[in-house]
Parts: sequence; structure tokens; C-alpha cells
Amino acid sequence: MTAPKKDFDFARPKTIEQLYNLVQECQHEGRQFIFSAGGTDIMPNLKSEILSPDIVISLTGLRALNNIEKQGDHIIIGALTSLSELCSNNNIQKYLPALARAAHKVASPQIRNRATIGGNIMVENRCSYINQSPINRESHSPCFKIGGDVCHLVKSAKRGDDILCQARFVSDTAPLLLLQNSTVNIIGPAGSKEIKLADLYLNDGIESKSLMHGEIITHIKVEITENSLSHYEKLTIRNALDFPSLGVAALRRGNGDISVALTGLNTRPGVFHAKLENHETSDDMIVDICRKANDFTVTYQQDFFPRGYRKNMISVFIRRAINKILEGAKS
Amino acid sequence: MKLLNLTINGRKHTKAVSPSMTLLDFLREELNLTGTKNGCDKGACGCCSVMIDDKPMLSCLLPALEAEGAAITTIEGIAKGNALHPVQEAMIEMGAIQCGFCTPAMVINGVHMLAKNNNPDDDEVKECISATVCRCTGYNSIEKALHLAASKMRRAAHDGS
Amino acid sequence: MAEDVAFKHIEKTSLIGKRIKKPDAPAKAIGKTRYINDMVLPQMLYGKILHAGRPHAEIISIDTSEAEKLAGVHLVITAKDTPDLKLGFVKDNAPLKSKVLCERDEVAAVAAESEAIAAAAIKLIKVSYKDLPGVFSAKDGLKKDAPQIQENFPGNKSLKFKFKHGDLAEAEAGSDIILDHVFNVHYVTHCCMGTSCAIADFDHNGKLTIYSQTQYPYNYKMDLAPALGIDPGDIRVIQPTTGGSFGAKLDVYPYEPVAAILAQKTGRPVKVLFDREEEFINSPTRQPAAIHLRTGCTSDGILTFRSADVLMDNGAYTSWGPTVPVIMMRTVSGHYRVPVIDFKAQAVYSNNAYAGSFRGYGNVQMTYATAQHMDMFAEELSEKHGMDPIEFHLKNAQKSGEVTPQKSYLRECVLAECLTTAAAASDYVNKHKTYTEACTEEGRYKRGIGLASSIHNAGGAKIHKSDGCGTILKMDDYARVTVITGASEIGQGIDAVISQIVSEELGVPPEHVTLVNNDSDIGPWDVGVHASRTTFIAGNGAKRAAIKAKKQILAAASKQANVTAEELDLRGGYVVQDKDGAAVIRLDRMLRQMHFQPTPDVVMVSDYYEPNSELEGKDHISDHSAAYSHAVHIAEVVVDTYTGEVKVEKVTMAQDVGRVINRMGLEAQMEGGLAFGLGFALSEEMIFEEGRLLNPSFRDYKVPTAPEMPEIEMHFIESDCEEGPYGAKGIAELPTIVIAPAIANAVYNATGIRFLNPPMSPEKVARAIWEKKQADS
Repeated sequence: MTAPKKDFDFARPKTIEQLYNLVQECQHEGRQFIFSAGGTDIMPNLKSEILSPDIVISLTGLRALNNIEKQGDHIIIGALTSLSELCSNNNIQKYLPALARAAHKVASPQIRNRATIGGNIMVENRCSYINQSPINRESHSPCFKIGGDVCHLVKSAKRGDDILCQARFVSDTAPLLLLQNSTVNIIGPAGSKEIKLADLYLNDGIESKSLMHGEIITHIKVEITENSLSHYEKLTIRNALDFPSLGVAALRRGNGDISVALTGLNTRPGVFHAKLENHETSDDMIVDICRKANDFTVTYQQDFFPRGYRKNMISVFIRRAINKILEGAKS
Repeated sequence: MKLLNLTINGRKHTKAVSPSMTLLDFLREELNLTGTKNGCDKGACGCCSVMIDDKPMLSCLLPALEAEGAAITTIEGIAKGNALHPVQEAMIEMGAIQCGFCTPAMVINGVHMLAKNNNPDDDEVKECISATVCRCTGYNSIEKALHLAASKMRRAAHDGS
Repeated sequence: MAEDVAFKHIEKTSLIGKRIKKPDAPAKAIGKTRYINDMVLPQMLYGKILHAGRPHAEIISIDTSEAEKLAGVHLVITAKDTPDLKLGFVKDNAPLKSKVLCERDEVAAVAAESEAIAAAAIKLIKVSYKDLPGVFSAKDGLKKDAPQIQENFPGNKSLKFKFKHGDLAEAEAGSDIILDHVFNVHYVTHCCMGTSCAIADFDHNGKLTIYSQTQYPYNYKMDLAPALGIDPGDIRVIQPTTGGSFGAKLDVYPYEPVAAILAQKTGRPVKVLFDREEEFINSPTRQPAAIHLRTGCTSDGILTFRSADVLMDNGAYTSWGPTVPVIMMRTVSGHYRVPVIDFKAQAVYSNNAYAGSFRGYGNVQMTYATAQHMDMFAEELSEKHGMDPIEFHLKNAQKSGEVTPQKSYLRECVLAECLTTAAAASDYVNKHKTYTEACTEEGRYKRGIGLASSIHNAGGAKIHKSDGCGTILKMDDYARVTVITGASEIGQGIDAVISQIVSEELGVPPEHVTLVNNDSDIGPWDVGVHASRTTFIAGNGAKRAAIKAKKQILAAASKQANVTAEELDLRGGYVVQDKDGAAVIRLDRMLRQMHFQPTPDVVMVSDYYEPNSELEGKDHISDHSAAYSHAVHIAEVVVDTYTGEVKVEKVTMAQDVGRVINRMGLEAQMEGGLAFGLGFALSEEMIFEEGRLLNPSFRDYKVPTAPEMPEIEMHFIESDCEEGPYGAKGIAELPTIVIAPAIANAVYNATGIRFLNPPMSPEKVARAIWEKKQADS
């Protein structure tokens, strides 16, 4: 047994109302809480003592958030939809096949049966110094992400810097959702709102999401782009289990414009566009996108693939993803 | 402690558990169902696979209380009495079991795949076991076993119809 | 003639070479097997160890008072409770440390009523350290101003090995081509799926029963006793089912005496079980090495000399790792016919992790070098002199009866057949030529084919005064056989092989043979599961014991049937006439008749088989194994020159197995051994930063999964070993040894680039391709 080192309480409210009654109670009593969807990312972090809340509030009882619906030119995905449900859903396969592909590339079949789309777009940023045993972490001086005063990647970093932590963004599904102009519906103690998915992501590896404590994502609203083609490519050592060392989603719109979104490189995802000129996807467009992507990238050694290699692979993977799309366009 | 109600291998259980206990520890320590193995406890080896409402999941990544009301099948619930499941028979027949530590997980995942599709291709078989780490075999024998089990199940389905 | 044998004829059949199921497989398939990890004893406490988590430090103080106060904690121990207790190959290690020499160092330990309490107590122990500058490579350890790691080893020099044969200067002068490279072989670890575990239990007479995953229960007692200050005779080792081993459990490691000390002092059974991170950080590794290899060859393609200078990072303590030169030098002197040899190896203490034994034992490292040199020669000779690559290998391949410079006597040697079989089956020569021509062409994906071979001991390795194994065999009144053997089962399948051999001799079904082999109070002595020895040594022992039993039964039966014993045989549960198989009497009936007579004649026989090998001496000149074997692997790869990804599509293996005993077990060991070598070659690597392991998890340490495995084609060459049981040789390490250089040679064929430093991970391959492009343009 190596259960979470710190005991936590657990609750699984069945309705949003119950959820926020509980949240209120926690706030009133000063109990630290975290939300858990599928829990496949949260549990290892609890066991590694990266998280140590008083209570884990599971969202899996909120059955209403587990659905996929087509509404006009949007697909609405409930945040608690499991990745395997997403992969096999008819609407997703028909309108967002690259999203199904990206979801299918997450971790492993057993994890996809549990992990949710909401959890995947909220997945905690990773760094080879953080995602470690507590004893190993403790033998280094604690870093910013766990409340310490140092970054082992950027030794010169100090409190007050714009970016304190370089832990990298590793969601496989977010890039494509970003290209599809997705928005997320959020509810919280202060009520509900809809924001652009792009606005969910922040620059810093610690506060990497703009969701306020106590807020949850209920739905993701994904735009169906007429006559578009898209694809997702992922760099890993193995075919299963691995987080993306680099992930590239590419989208070609009906008008020929191309966009790509990257994951795995930086503290947040990056999105880049190239406009169609002269009626044909030109190499210049791809070169342009690759250059923008390279400029965006500030990879550090947060992954076991050295930064130089991952940087070199950006162009390779962007080309690979775009070529797949162009092949699709021909056939 | 909180009360947990669930069905395991067809048997109903009600037990008080610590909220931070994982389903894996609940199975192994509270119910003595030690067939489900703890290989890494962090969701990266697949050894703790069980079926929850007919889907394989990692029991180490789940607080036991998450399984409230669920129907769980562990390796102990796969054979029917003395009659082994075709996947189990095939694993034995193909020499796909050495130290055996990953075997329960391989069986759980294989049984699930074949229940959905008794005519899987090579890629489907590979994917089915792709996230369960085995250090004794080189996986080929396990893949062969799943193909053999599939053919046995197809034959049985054909004979039965 | 009794009614039940009337007109019954049983033909002579043989089980040898057939597929025999592992007897423990059904229980494993249904989840019923009790692994040591699953065991709970009455009154048992849980032990937990506090590891230092830093590579080099003085321990200024340890305050255990808070931990001791925690409810449910029975005992906290530190080095002061265990003075003078030592373990390890040169007794440079201790169960608990008073100074920190590496990340894993055991600083304190707790026994508590639950794992959670033990874990909580560990956190309450306050240790104050003064960190010291460390040594993190063998090279740095040799520097004049390097901190001294171990008190008794000045200059940080640990074990040292030397072997010389012939006149090196003369051989160099007579060489037309001399290759000179340094190969850096990296850290990898076993990753047994069942993590390390020990349960210790003392009785009221001071005798220790230890439930252990050990691979060598008998010498284990000798190694464990000084770490506890008790007599080896007072230790009983029980080996419950274990989740893999692969060499990881061939030594005593600190958690085992720690469990025992906690048990001794609390008077309760104590279980220590690692979690996965502890397993990664605290298990032995494969011995890393920098191998400076020089090899000479004439323009006719005849090898002239090999010289190897090996520098090994010993880590902080000495387990089996730094002893691997014993096998490395056999490869240097025995991998093909090499007349002149110069071998040196030096291990240097550092503050890194330390290595143990690991499937392939030094040969994985050395063959990675020698097999690449063979390929480099083959390439050069083919290019300059038009020599066929297989012809080059065949010219230097030994033949039966040859003796290597270290006096390994290759009684039955079929290296040539392994080469020609694998080459023909894979169409090596043609493909190699095609891919060589395509290598310089444009194109993203490059194909390559690579050949590698090696030699390994296949009849044990006499590194102890005895390399033997004891067997006790009894038969009951129902013709059921119990075999008590010293040989351990760690998943490799000796259980199936022994029951197969015994049923072959005694004519009973394999299911009627029960193996007892997990209790040192019951079993006779054996040196352990290692050196690919168990089928050979324990198999021979079981066969000899069964033959003794058979003789006893046939002697008794001959009196009854009024024929000579030679005219009788045991088949299908009957005593039969040898010539026509006519049944004489049912075997169980015969056994009862032997038993229930005025002078009972009960079948209880024993045997101690000692192979006819010679003890490995200080001069390293001895025929240290009773057999040697060769294997050839041919790997076919596709290299993505953009990303550097290497996909191994197919491996064709041809191995001298002596004779196939259990085909199912043989195939399983071949395939599993190959998977180990594949991971070593391509993806597995322990990444250290100043002595701290950065990737102690299955997420970050990349063990191969199913999609990475290639198609495997196996060819078993049967050389019929005179000394082996039914002609068999030991087989389980060669598959791990040969695959990595075969892949490296294939990657060369595809890209024109040599990879001297495994693993051939995508970034290394991509970088090398990029650098080559820069250099070429």
C-alpha cells in the first residue's frame, strides 16, 4: 500500500447545488478542497504529495455533465465525458475526427476509460523536478511550484518575475479544441460564465489556468468548421503511457487558411496561423507557421527529451500534421 | 470512515472505508482480493486493472468511494467456478505467463476487448495490452494468446448459434 | 498377468522438445497465486526505511523522538543500533548508514502497526545533514583531488581485473586494420513488476525465517548472517512466488537485514515492501561501463587481437556489478577466434547508484562493443576487398573442439550454423547490400539490417567452489512424484522443465510431479538462478535422480517379471517390456508391492550434480562453464531520419540451444530476453543528476510496451551438448545480449552512423543524422 500520504476526506455531490453547498461549507470551515474529475492526474499528484488537500470533491456524481450534443454548428461536450466515450462518439468521429485521434493518444485505454475531457484540458503542468518522489524533491531545495524559492530549470528566476515556473503544458486534446475556437462554460460560487478556451491558459507553470478556485468547467463548446480538415501528431518515445513531449494539432479551414496549435513545449499551448495566398497551400505558409512556432517556444529541460531536440522536432511535426491534412484534402 | 456500497464479482459489499483509500487497497487489504496487483501505484504500469461497470480502469487511480454503487469485476471474478475464461486458457496454452505479476491485468483487458469484439486485428490486440507493462515476456506470446482466445470465442459463438 | 495390463501396449514416446505448460500458470491466470507482496503474517509489523535522498553527506544528528512517540510505532532504529554489521561483496556496505554515500542510503528504519503509520513515522524523523562534494563519474573518482568515498579504498579504487594472452605488440604489427573506439554503456534497471519485499520472523530460539525474493537461497544465508551478527545456520529462507527477478535478487541488499533487525528487536514478524519509486531508486542497476576496445584484423579478414580497457563506475558500494569483467573478458577472448588478448578493468567508487547482477551479466555491455567492431570490419572488408560479410564472420567463427585463450573449451560449437541459418532466413546479404546502396539516397525513411552474435556460458559458471545442485526425489504409493530441488523458480519456468524431465524418465504425466523448491530447510544446496544455469544444472540433477529411481523400480520389477531390468521400461504409468511396450504392471501397484513387503523398498533417492567445469581463478584461465553457446540476431529496422525514431520491425534469431527441452518455455525466455535487450538498446535509461535519479517511475523510465515489440522469428540450432540434460544448453541470457548491437548495426546500415553510446534514443539518432549532414555538405 502506498495510498496518499496525507489522509483526505472525499465527497461526491450529485448536483451542482450540493457541490456548492459543500464548497461553501469547506470555505466556512477553512478546509482546503480540490476538485477531481476522472482523477487520473490528481491521484498520482496526491500520492506524490504535490497536492495535499483536506478534501477531494469528486465531480463524477454530476451525471448531467457527461454528454455530447450537436447544437447547430457547435458540438457541446460535457466536461465529464470520458476520453474513451469521446473517441467513440458518432458526432465527434463525424465532425471532429482529429479530436477523437488526440483523445485516443492520451495515456492508455484504462486511463481513457476514466479520464475526462474537462480533466484533460485542465491537466496539471509537468516538470521533471516536480513530478518526483517527495524524498527526491525534498533533497533539492523546494521549487516555486511547491512553495519554495527556486526554479531548478531557470536558476536566475526570482519571486516577482512574470514567469516563475516553467512546468510544461501537456494536454493532448487542448490544441485541437483551441483551433476549433472552443469556449468553455464555467460555473462557480459567483455564478456562471463562458470564456474562450484560449483565455483559460496562462503563462506561468504554477497558476497555469485562469479558473478560479471553486470554479468548474461544465461544458466545452466546439465550433464545427465547414469543409475543414484537421489532424493531431504527438511525439513520444512509446506508443502508450507517455505524455506528449510535443503535440501538434493542425487545421485547414474551408478557405485554405492553416492554423496549428502546440502542446508539450511551453507553460501554455501556442496557436499560429497562416493565411492562404494564391489558392494553394504553399511551402511558404508552412515555413511561416514553423518560424512563428519556433519563436514561441521557450522549452526548458522539463522533459526527458532534451530541449534542442524538441525544438528541432517542432517543424518536423508541424509539417507531418499539415501533410496529413493535405493528403486528406486530395483524397 | 465512510460507508461504501458496491458489487464485486457479483457479490454485494457494504463496508466502512477511509476516504483516502484507493480502490486497489480496498480490494487487496479490506477484501483480501489480492489477485489485483500493485505494480506502480501511479497509473503507469497497468497491473491494477479491474473492470468497473464493464470497463477496464486502474484501481490505483481511484478512491474506493468513487466506486459507490458500481459493479466491479476483478481477476477473481473472471473464471466461472473451475471453468477458466478462454483468455485465461489461452494465456496458459501459449506460454504467456512467466512470473505472472501482470497476468491478471492482461486477462482483464483481454476479456474486455474480446467481449466487445471477438475478431480483433493485430493493432487492436496490441492496443489492448499497450499500457500494461510486462517484464518477462516480450508481449508477443500474450498477443498470440489473445488471438487464440478470440478464435476460440468465435468458434463457440458460431457453434452456439 | 493382472487384468488391468492384459493386452496393453505402450509405445515409447518422448516429451523432450514438446510444449509443456508451466504448472503454476493456472493459479496465476485466475489471480490465486500468493506473491510475497500479498503476504500478511499474524502479528506482523510493517517496516519502512528512511532513505537519504542526497548523494554525499555527513549525518550530523538524527532525532527519532517524535517518530517513537507516534501511536502504533514499535521501534525506530538507526546506524547506532546496528554497529559493525556489514554486507556486500567486499563488506563495504551496512544495513543502516552513519554517513551518506549515495541517494538510496538507508539512514533509519521504523516498525509500525500499519504501512501508513510507518510512513508517517518516517516523516517525523529529523536528520541534520552536512552535504559534501560528491563524485559522479568513474573518471572524476580517479582525479587526484577527488573526495574519498569509502574509508578503506584510497583513490576510490574498487575491484580490478586483468587478463593477457599472447604478444600484443606483435599482433598489432601484423594487423592491416585496427579499430579503436570507446563505447559508453549506460545505466538501466530491472524493473521487476513485483517490487522488492522481505518478511523477517525470529523464533524463540533465535532462528530467523526470512521470506525472500532471493535467487540464491543457500549462499544468501552466508551473506545475510554477517549483516545480522548471527550464524548462517540459524537462517531459514522461504521463497514465496515473486514478481520477476532477472538478476536483481542475486545479492543481499540493505532492506533485507533491516527487516530482520526490526523483527529481532521487536519480536514480531516485519515486512518491508518497496513502492515503485523506492524500487527504482534502491534497486541495483546494470553495471555501466566505458569500454575502450581495440581490435585488429588482417586484410584477409582474420582477427589478430582484441584489447579492452574498461572503466566502471562502482557507485557507492560493491555488489555484483563491478565483478562483471569476469564475463566481459570471456567475450573479449571468446567472441570469435582471437589469438591475442589484453583485458583490463577497473571499478571506481562514486556517489552514484550501485550495480548488481543483471541478465547478460557484463556480456550485454561487452557484446555491444565487440559485435559492432565485427560489423565495422565486415563493412570495411566488403568495401575494400569485396569480402562477403557472412564469409568474414565464418572465417573467424570457432568450430567444435576449439579452446579460447581463457581455456573455455567449446566442445560443441555451432556458431557457423547460427550465422548461416539466420543470414539465409532473413536474406541478410541481399538486404544489406540494397540498404547500403540506398543509404546515401534522399528520403526520409531509411531501412537497415544488422547482424550481431555473441558467446555466453551455457552450463553454469563456476564462480563458487561448487556450481552444483542437489535433488531429492521420492515416489509415493500412488505413483506421484515429489522432487525437492535446490533450484529456485523466479518465473523463468524451471518448474515445467523439471517435471518434464522427471516424467520423461519415470513415464508419469508431468502433472503428477510436484516440485518443492522454496524452503532452504527442506531443499538441498544450489548456487542460485543465474548464469543461464538452471535447466542445465538442476535439469541434470533431476534427470540423474529420476534415473536412480527408475533403476530401483525396474530392479524390483525384473524380479517379479523374471526378466532383466534392461528389458523393462517405464511408460504411461506402467512398467512395460522395453521391446514391444507390453504392460507388465501398473506403476502405482508396483510401488505398493515394493513398499509393503517384509523388507520395504521405498523410492527415495537423492543426487548432487556437480558440472565438470573448473573454478574461475585469479588468473582467469579455466574452463569455467560446462558448456558454451552462441547466438546470432539479425535486426531489421526503419529509421525516421527526421525524428530519429528507430522502429525494429523484425528480428531473426538463431541460437545454439543444445537441445530443445520445453519448447514453450524456451520461446518465452527468448522473447522476454529480447525485450530486455530492446529496451536497453532504444529507450531505457536511468537519468542521474549529481547522483539523484530523475526518472524513478514507469512514466519516465521507458520500459518497452507491446507496440514497440518487433516480429520475432526463432531458429533453434541443436548442437546436442554431451554434458547437458538430453543435450540441452542454458539459453536465457543470450537473447538479451545480442539484440542491442544487432540493432546498432542495422541503424548503421540504414544511416551510415555508428552509435557507440546506447540507448539509441530518437534525439541521439536525430542529432547524429543532422551532424553527419553538416559534415557531409
